Amino acid sequence: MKCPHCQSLLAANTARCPGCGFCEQALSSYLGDQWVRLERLTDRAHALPMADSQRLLHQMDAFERQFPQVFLAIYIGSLPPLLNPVELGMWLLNHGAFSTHQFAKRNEYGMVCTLDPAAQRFGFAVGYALEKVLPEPTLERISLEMKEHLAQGHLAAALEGLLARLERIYRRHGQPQSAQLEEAILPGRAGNPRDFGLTPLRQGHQSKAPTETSSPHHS
Amino acid sequence: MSRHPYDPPVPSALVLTMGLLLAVFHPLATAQDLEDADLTLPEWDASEWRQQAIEAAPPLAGGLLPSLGEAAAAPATVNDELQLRFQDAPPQFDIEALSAQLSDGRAIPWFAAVDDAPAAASATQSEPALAIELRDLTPEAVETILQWPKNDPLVDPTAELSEMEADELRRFLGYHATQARLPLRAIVTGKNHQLKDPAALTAITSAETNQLGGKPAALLIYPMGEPWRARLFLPPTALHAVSQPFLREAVEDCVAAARRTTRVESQLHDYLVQLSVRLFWIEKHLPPVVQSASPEPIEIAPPLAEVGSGDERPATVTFVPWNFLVTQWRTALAWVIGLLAAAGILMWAISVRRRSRARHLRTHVWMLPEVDSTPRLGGAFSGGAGFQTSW
Ligand SMILES: [Zn+2]
Repeated sequence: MKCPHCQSLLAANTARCPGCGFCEQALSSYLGDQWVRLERLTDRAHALPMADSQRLLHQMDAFERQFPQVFLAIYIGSLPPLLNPVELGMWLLNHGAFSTHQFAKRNEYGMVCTLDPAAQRFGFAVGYALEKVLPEPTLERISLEMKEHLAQGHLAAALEGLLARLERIYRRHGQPQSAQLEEAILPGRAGNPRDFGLTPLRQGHQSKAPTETSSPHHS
Repeated sequence: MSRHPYDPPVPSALVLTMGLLLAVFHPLATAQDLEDADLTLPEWDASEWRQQAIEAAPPLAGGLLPSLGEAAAAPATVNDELQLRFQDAPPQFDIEALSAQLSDGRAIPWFAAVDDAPAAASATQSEPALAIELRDLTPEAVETILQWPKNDPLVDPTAELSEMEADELRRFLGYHATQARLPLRAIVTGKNHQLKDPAALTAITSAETNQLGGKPAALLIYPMGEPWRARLFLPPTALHAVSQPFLREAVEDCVAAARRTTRVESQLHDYLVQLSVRLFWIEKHLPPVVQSASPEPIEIAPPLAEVGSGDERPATVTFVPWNFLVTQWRTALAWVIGLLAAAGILMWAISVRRRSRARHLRTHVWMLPEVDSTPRLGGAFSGGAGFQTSW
């Protein structure tokens, strides 16, 4: 595990990076500690043509159906000047309420992909539960694949490739279950996720009266 | 996430595959059966001479005759009857008279049957001996052959046959010798034996050795279980009386007859029966001058010549694919149809698999393992694992 700010190696339960002092509190003091709504796709830079974003949304929908625990949020826009893309991703995962039909998703299983077309920077941050299935070499390969597309200006292709790659990885690591069984296990839409020991994220989101902005640095 | 109503379930796909395979290959089997039926059920009219032929013919009728094994199991068969007839009475059957009655070959019912049937590859056959497994016949065995009683049509230097089987074949070859102008001597060797030594071959095939009852005889060197390696030697007069393709076809038919059964003794038996029939046929082409009146003086008679002696392994019938394709066009056609059908089934199976995989993707979800995560850097859900780069 590395520090997202200075890349120093970190022990499992380090509260603060021994190299640079980076921690969540430092991020929150910069971006705030309120909950934000995480949309599947936020394209503030208007970098994706309508058809591309439509196709991408379809693919993301299919992806979420296949992996009920997992979600991916894509943010395309200018990043806060003092933060790198992973730091922003980390903050969003720790403060975001993912907007989905199913509320069974926990943020440990979340992924945030941040792209800044103007600065030509991009990053990818994942929750704790995905660290095992996305080890460093895998992340590196994903990064190279995306970079290849992005260097040619193919933003949509880079994101579609990312989704396709993640699908293959999660299918390899996951246990297939029949969809019916899955629906029986998961709570119905009318149920309270707390009854099933699921994430209190939504609850927190409501109780904390969050901002409705999809762009963290506006808040 | 419900199953698409038009998706065929996988079991029905399997059934359809089996059905297609059956549909493709069943006509093949039927054609083969018909060929076999042609062979064993010659048609002839119920005229008087034909009746006579039927009564006399069984020992020569390839396929009509029960095999040795069958004969042993059921003693009260035509073989016993024949045995009695040959031992006690001179045979009634006169090939010359028969041939005179009808100008075409169909005068001999069993021959007509054999002639009509294309050479059929047998369904089962033993493994051919590999070239490196072949051993030359020992000098002792060659000597045994040369010292073998002159009037014995069956030479078995390495005792490949049981006494009963040898006797059975002796009776058959003896009967053939009494009827035919071209008697037949058979040398039986072991499966892996070959006779390559030219000196030994010359001695064995010499005209002095190969005569039975004062008539020059045809010589067959037959490795047990390897009918395709059998070598046939004929007196030059006989060899030149018919064309090479005719002789080649004759030998191929003998091999084909032998290959229809798997028991090596039955193979030899069927080979000899078929060869006997073919020798009768060759005999019809012999010039009349050579006829029994003045047999060639043995001292000056040239040695036997091997059938198809232009080749490396003359009497060997090689079942090379192209030869097979030409001679057995029906089988070849069936193969082509079968291969096309198989290709179709394969493509269809791939598409079914693809559909079933797509359905699997639609109807299944994948659950990732739960992990006990230790938070770091104060993050409740993420410690900032990931990557960042620029392009
Ligand atoms: Zn650091």
